[in-house]
Amino acid sequence: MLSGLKARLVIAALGLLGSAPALAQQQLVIPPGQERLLGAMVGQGDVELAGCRMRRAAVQKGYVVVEYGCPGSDAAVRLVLYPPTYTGEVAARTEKFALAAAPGTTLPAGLADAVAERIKKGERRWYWLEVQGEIGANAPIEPTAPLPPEKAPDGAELDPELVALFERGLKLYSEKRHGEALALFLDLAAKNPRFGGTLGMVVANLAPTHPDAEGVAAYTDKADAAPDDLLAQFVAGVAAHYSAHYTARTPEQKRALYETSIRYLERTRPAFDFEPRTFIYLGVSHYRLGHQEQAEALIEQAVTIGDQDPDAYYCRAEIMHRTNTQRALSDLDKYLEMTEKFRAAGGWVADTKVARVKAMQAHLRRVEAGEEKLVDIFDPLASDTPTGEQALGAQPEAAAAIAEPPPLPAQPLPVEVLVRSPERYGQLVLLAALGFGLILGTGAWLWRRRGARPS
Amino acid sequence: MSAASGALEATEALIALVLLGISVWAAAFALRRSASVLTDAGTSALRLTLLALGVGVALRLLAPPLLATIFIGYKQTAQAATLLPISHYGVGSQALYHALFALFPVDHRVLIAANTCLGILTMPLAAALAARLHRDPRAATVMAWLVALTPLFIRNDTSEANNVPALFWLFGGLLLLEQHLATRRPFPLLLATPLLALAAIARPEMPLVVVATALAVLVSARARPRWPLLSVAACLFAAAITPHVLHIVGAITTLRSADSLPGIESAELARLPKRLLTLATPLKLSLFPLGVTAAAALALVLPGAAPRRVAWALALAAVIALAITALDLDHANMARVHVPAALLLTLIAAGALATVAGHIPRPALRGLPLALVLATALPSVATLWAPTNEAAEERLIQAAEAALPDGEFLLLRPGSEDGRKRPQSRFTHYHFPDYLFLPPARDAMVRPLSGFIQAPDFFVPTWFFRGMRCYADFRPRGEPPPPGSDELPACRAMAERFHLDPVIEWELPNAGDVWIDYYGDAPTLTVGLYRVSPLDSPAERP
Repeated sequence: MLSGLKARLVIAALGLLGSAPALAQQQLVIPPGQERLLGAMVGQGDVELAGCRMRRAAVQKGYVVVEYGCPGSDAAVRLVLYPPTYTGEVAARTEKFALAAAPGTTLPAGLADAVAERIKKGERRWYWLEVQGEIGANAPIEPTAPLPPEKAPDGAELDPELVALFERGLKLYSEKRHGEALALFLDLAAKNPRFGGTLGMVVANLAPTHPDAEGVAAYTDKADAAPDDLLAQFVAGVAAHYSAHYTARTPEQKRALYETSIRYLERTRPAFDFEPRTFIYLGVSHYRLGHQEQAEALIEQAVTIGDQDPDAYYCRAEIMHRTNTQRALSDLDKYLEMTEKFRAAGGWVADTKVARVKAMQAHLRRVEAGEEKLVDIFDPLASDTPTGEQALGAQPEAAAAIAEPPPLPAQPLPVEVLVRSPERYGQLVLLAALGFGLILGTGAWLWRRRGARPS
Repeated sequence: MSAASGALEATEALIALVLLGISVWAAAFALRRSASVLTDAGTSALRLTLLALGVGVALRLLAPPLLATIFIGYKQTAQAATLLPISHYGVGSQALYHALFALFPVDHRVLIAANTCLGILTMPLAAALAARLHRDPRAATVMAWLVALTPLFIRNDTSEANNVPALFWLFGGLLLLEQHLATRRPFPLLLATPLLALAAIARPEMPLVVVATALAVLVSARARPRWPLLSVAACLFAAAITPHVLHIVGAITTLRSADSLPGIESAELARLPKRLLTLATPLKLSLFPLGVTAAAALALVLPGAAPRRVAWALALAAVIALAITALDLDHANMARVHVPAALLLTLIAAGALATVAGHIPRPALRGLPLALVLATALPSVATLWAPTNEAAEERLIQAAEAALPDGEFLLLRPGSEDGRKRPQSRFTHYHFPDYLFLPPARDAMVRPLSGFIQAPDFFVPTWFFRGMRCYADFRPRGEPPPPGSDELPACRAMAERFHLDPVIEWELPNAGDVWIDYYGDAPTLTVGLYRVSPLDSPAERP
């Protein structure tokens, strides 16, 4: 159950990392990537602890609340797992946790000890992340231990049904069954669009379907038929955006699709303003239509609310790279830093994109150093990125500002990925040396045999 | 990198991969050939040659490893770590370093160590080639002493200069080519071709240098060459280096469009002879023993065992090597990029000195011409190993590397974003060995200063590396140095806006503008590594 919250946990933990105020003290927080371990330690699954079974859990920045169902008690029993530095009243301690009853909860006899015993078996691999927290954070974290609401403010991501749906969707996504995954995430989003990461997964599965004009028309028809269905508007806007990316063949088509994207995404506001992707697609669509000013304003909003979304920085780099190369470089730095952190936390990172971003950085740096002229580097819409002059140009020429045909994403060739790895490259050099040695040896043997043969 | 250039670069990398694999064997056979040639010279000559080689090895092992470039070695190392995109120099040496990073950590000191090994191995190859080309075994001994003791070569071999592997492959290839010409057997040619191709793809000027030197070896042939075999080898060579040539043409076009290669424009080409005279390393006593240059000139007119056309052909190759590099030459890099030309001149000079020695009746005095020539090398020692601010920064980097604790941290150091906004400031190099601190080496993030100053964030322990770049700003040659330390505003802002707790702090003599005009006229400069904390909170000690 907890693993389904991975994206959310990553974002929560990274959020804390990135949001340290100027006056700060050390604070222990839960880093991402330990969901499975945590689940195992608190008895996720068919595990009975002092007669109780775990129902659900909420991971906060610095503590975990676990809810158990116990026989003979209708009320939920909630146990809070604090860092070992917690100085309040505790029911049990382990090396890395202090276990306390949540306010209003009376722990059944033996539950805290049973959980502690279970935690002790698994906590060797657990770690807390020491970060700069707010002033006073060194004091016991929220000493009154207010429980997270039973339903989280953004929509009760702990609903087991939704979590299960999310997990199934993730599996489909990892198997590249994007059509099925999209349908599932749309279903989930229809139930709760604020369920952590759901809209992101809608987008992640919609983009690879490369919707064509017909596909976009289907989405927009559906959206038009149900103007109050904000999810349908969102999907139509995103589909139009990606269609412009991938399938449009003429500047006119692209222009129309970006305008469509903006039209539908605007309808989702302000309801979907919690979702950085709304602003990302709006910003990039405006940018590609040459509306630099709107694009900059929108992408700033995207970064503000999605400051833990690496793509927000990536897209800001795209929008700014002609007008503020240094900022773009800094954003690409940020993108790489965040993806590396995500990777370090056990998340999956597309090496190809990382390599591409590094190549972009290298190019921008060479441009900065005057060694190269700026070329279109931001795929998938490389050559159709309007130049500054064009972007500011008169509207009648705006269509001409969009070149054709739209290039497909310039993914590195597999051989490029292979060559970039010193280990692989070194192995191949060794293989080439051995191969050549074999050829030499065989040649020498044949030569001698021929010489030894009586004429 | 577009898909087309990506495919081209991937092709270059794959060609280099195959050539590197073959070169392992080819180099071994070349070294075996050199041993055979040196042994043929007789016991006493061999002893002297081995002594020279031993001294050369000792000097290379004892010489302090130094970057030959103005901080570009850091960038070169970072590029070698990923290989793609391929730098504008070419793929050959980078591919070798890239493969080495499979065994060793990404570190510029790995490049230097590899170069030192290859520089040592180049010595017997060069000595043997001298003996064969000049048809005089004594030339091997002379060449061995010249290469072993010439400060320019020692300095180059103990640096990250990417021409060191190129010269190893070049001399190995030429020796095997000569062996083919002498024996008419195809096997040495089979091995020479990949070595020469590898040398050719190591640097932009190397295709022409390789072709010119191969022609010089061809000119020295005693028997009629086997043209069909040579033609096949030439075709294979051309096929192997074509992607590199296309790459270089592309790089030149890019540099020209950015006005970064003025030397290639027709107006500048007309001034090339004058530039050559003023910037040729072999004509600078402060960099190279002029005696070697004079001996090389003498070889052009002095009759020796080999026809004079050999010396002339080698001289032509040396002039080509000088002239091409002069297109994009600066005072800062002349000691490095003219090494191939200087080595070719040394090869010519070895013949002349051997001939002169042969005319001296008293054996005890036969080494005198060589000694006199080597004496002219002494002035270059002071220049080549003069203390520099760049070397001081390298020492500081190593000290910082040792001082920074394990765990996650943020390292702030000046970057190009922090540079001044003067037009010429863009030529200041801010390359930094980030790879020493980034994963997998360490668990750090490395950032320029400006971004941090604008939005300070102390979410992990934060450190400030105040290196020599805090005082560097490029200015055209001849412009007087700015007064004082001329500290970079971003570095100054770090001290003004944050609490800096020194972990390392050195007040170093300002070595000034030894190779490049960067620094102010302050007598000392303060550099160090500092723990950064907000001004209004007590600094946390590491």
